[in-house]
Amino acid sequence: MTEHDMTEHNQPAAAAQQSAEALETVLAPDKPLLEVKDLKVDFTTDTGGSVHAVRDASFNVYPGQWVAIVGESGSGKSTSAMAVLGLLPGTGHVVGGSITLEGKDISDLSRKEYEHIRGREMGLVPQDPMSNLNPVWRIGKQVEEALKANGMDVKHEKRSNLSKAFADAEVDLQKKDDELFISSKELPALLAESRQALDEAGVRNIDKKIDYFTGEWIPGSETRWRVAQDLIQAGVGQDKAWDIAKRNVTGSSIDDRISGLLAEAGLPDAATRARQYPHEFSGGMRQRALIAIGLASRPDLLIADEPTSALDVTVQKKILDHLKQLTDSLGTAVLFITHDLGLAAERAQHIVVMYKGRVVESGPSLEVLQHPQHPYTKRLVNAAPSLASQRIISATERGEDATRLMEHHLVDESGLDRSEHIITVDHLTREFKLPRTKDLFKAVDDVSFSVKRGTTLAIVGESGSGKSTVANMVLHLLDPTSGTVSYEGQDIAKFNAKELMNFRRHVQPVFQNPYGSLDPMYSIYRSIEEPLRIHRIGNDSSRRKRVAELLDLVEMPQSVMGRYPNELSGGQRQRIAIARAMALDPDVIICDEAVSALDVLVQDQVLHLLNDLQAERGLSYLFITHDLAVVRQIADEVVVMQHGKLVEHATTDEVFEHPQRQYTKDLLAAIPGGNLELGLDTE
Amino acid sequence: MGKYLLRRVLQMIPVVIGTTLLIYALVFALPGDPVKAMFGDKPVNEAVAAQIRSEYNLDKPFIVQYLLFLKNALTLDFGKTFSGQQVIDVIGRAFPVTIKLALMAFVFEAIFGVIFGIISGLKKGKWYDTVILIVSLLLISVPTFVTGFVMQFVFGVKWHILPVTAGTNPGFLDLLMPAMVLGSVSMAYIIRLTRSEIASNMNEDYVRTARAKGMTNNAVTMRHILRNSMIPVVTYLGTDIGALMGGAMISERIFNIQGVGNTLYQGILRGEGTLVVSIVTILVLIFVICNLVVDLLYAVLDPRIRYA
Repeated sequence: MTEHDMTEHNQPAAAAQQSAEALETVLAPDKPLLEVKDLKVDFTTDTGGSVHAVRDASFNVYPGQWVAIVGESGSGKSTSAMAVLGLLPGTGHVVGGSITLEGKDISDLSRKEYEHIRGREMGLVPQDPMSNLNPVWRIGKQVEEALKANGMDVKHEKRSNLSKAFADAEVDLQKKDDELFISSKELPALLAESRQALDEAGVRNIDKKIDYFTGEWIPGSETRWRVAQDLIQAGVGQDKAWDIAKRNVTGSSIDDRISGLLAEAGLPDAATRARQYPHEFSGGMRQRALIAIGLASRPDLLIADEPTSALDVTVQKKILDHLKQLTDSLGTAVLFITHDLGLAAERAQHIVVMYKGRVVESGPSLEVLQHPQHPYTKRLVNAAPSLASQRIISATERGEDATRLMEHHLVDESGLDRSEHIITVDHLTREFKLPRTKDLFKAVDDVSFSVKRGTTLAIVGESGSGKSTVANMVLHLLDPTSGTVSYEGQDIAKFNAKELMNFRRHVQPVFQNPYGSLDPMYSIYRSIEEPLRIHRIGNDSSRRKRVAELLDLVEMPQSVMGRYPNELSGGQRQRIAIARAMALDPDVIICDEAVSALDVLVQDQVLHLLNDLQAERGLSYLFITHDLAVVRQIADEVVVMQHGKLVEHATTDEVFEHPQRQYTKDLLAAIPGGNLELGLDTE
Repeated sequence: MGKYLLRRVLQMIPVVIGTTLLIYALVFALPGDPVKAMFGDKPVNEAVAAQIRSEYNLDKPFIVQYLLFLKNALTLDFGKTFSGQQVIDVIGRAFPVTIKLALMAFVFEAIFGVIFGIISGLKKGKWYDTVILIVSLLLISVPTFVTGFVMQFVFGVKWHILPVTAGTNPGFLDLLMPAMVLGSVSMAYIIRLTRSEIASNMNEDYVRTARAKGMTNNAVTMRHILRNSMIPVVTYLGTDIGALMGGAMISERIFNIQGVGNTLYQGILRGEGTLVVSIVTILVLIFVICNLVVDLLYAVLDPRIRYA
């Protein structure tokens, strides 16, 4: 079934509802599907000690319900989910409490017993679509594994054969486990007979109906009774419809089933796609394949561990929308793990907040969002970027000054005698030669904008839009094919060695990955001191003083000087990277996805730090991000890029309130939590 | 694909020319006069010496000698050795023995390397993992000739299980010990490579996803851990065929096998440029072809790699 089916055609939906009702009476909805009680998970360290990753966590998931576990990294949310699946990494093990699935305790099952329930009773949609598919097997093969592992293929073929034998005597098969799917072989005959039947019944618009059937009747996904329902709906008599369905829908092959599953997960042209390898798929497509795998054996519980955090926001929205529809129609319960409270509130009926291994709050989503009780939840509500930008929008609607809320107004007016624009990008174009062909790929296509002194300009776009290429050219790390970048009115391409050194001193980068941008062999002191040494500023003692000042500036204790990057958290490392960028007192800082890899709370702290530094020192920022929610918090002006071209350029308020292009509107609509009502007591 | 193959074959031309030129230059630069050495203790007859020199083109400048060799080699005429034998006949006698030896060593290292590597990798930390690791480290760190002499002494001299030396026309049993010695170092590397590949693949996300599908432990191990771990191992094995052919020199010396290594060694001692360069050219060709096969095999094993 497709989205189209569920939104525009109500007959199957009604039927699905019928079966869902029948299901509810069977499963007794007052009993939870999954009951986690006082769960304790420990990891053993090298020295033999224990790290308590999860402490006394309790939560329930009821059949068909979406429950979100929210928390920062290290809060134990993923660990709890993996404990349920029996797939704790490394030395992790359950040391206390119980996990009950459909009434039986599964916390101390043997490996064999766990293999038996994984897949068929609970499925997983993992976090990173890039690393969760085996690169050497075709997509279809990896879906097939999920079916085979749970005997679904055998059951499937057996059923097909049985039904062929009983095709005449068979009665209504309108059940949850009806597995008689259309096969691709039978589809032409089915369509032909349907056309004939419609013709006999004197139905008008036959072509339109047949077109609709062609779109709906996906081999390996659409079942016999749905075909019959569709025919009856279209005007064919009840008996005739069932007769056609019985004779022409006798079960599909395993390959049909695989492409049917992939089609259900929203993969277009699934039969062809199933024969491709993971590297031929985009991130979004891979995640759809993983959803198909997770749901292949029709589990009652699906564990979705940050299923979209590695994807662009627009893709994220599409995939979650689809997952929601799919699990609703199948009656699958979902345990949804995320660090974004806005996303959780938008998708789940029930929220569980975890902090330092404990459940600190749980309740209905809106309740948690509007009346958070625990201080940590309050901080999360305040920090969630999706919610923060929402707050600013609602503040402007109430007539308040949004800029006051954004708290980064420029105070330094003394620079007005100099040029107003510190960085000007003029008709910038960059082409790359594609390997082994003569084609040129335009990564950046005729882009012009300028950064005003003391303000923040954000470049927004999906991955592949060329925004990082622009950043690299502004940093003079990459030469443009044509066009110019000017700093203080001078073309940076024409700088000689000395001028370039001076430029480097005043324009500093902060990169996305704080794990990769600090040399692991350098101590923190050496990392921050290095730019000073390169530019021969001060002597040993004055440099030491300066490093201490810089650490103060980014609110890090001076004791970290002697430590190494691997001993610091992601947020702390990004602070160090900012301190290093600030060492030379630059005028411009270019942040390339500088907060994208960070947790929401840390992200919020770093954004505040950047705001404060701008207010104190009149810095200008060129801020590159894919996340419009972050833009709302920091930028004065926004440039939206798509496929290397600049598609929209306006002030932040303009872009958020009156987006001109459809693409910008899509980006805005994709910010999670956009439609949520926020309680005033969250502020 | 065809285009890629053609490009790779064309690339072989400069490789072969470069290596043969280099070897020719090295032999040319060897101290001592090979013609004078032929007379041994007898006084040198200058007229005879000059005749030999002109017969073997030794009186011409180096580059002319090389070009003449190249021209003849193109028609598969590698010339004669100083003792008057056709070089092609010498090669024809030496290569079959060495190919047999190298293939036996290859099968030995492939089978035992992969098996021990898998046992070690899947059961990390068990006592037999530790034993396998220590033995493989020993084989890597001890020079081949020491391993050879030790085995010769233990299996041949002490226990009389296997023949001490191979001699002419060696059979399977005669070559068994030399093949094990020849393959031992590579086997140790394969054990370590397989072990570390398995260890890192076990922690891959897609392995966890496979377990979450409900697949049994055996199926996950076979289809996801071992299948992926074999890619670099196969690559290593492929390039090793060429290395075994050339590296047989030490084993052949120890076990007195009249193969390529021994012939090459004697050719160098006598300063026979044509013989040495001819053998090396064939070795280079084998090496380059093995590399090409490995690259093609790599694309079969890893779908991410496609040649256009």
